[in-house]
Amino acid sequence: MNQPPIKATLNSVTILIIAFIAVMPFLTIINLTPETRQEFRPHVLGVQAQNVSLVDGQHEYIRNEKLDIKDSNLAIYSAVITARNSGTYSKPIVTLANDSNTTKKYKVFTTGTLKSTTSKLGVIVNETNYILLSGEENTPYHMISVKPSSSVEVYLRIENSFHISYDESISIDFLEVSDQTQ
Amino acid sequence: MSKLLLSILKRALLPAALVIVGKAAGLYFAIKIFDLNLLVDNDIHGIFTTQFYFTSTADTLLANSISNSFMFLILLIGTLIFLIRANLRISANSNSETLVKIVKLNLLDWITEKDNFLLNLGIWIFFLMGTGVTTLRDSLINVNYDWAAFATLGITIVTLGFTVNTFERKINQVYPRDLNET
Repeated sequence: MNQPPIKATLNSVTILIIAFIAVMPFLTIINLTPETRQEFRPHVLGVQAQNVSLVDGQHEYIRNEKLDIKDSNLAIYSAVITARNSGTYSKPIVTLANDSNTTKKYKVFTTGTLKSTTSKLGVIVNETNYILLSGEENTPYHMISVKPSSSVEVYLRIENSFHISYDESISIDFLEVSDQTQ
Repeated sequence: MSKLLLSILKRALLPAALVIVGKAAGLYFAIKIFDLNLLVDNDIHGIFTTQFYFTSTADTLLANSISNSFMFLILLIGTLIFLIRANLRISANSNSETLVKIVKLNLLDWITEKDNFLLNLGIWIFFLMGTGVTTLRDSLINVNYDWAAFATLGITIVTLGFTVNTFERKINQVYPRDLNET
């Protein structure tokens, strides 16, 4: 038996609404799925392109990595070192690139402190270990040279003799220096 | 208007809303607990004009895995409630001992409520499978932990198996098999 036209139309509309309710939540959650993107930097006249870039990637104890580019020659790397067992851990954190014809130099230092006074924080560049923070003692800075048309990968190195049961925030500054300002 | 369609429409609203709320709440909790930095952009391309992003892959992976798992957990709890209620009702109809146990445990309200458990179960399992597929998609595009996606998929398949079994039990109850049939 044929349905009255109004009833058939209403049924069709209801089916469409049901289909919409079935599909819409999944489209919404696809939209809510976050992506990974480098932070937007405005192109400002007079500000040089940055030569410091974040390596990114995953590590068991190194989380929430950020590279904050303060101006044309200063980049600040920050991360959270989570609770960890005693031992030494490292991870590539930033790449220092030099596409010019002259050697570039970077001052690498930290203005932060560590809660765990027995831990050591440093960087590894070309298999050389540079300690930045040893317990409560800050090393003023280290100079890292990058040859023309090359790049170096900087590794974060964290060493602790005992188990650390809390998270710690760290930051490392990379300041590009010219020969005159050294 | 068809009563069945209207009934589906009414019952689908809650799980559809919970999918969206679960995803958004999971993302919010992940950001708050792990102190992540979520950024919002408004690129005009594709279907959506608002995008959420993190600046590191590890953060995206962590936040999205938590939000997907939280959304899945909410849907799973709802589905299990209807699965248990439907099975209890089917068992109570065919077995007086089960009915006595239900009365002793004061769970009669659970099975005597004037509601269509099987229809609800069918709707909830549809949304549960949807979240399972979405999680698998996220894992394939590397924004969800693989182990979490496989666990989600495994639980979905097991729940689907129990749901099919529940429907079979109900069908057997309504149209009993010939006892002489082997």
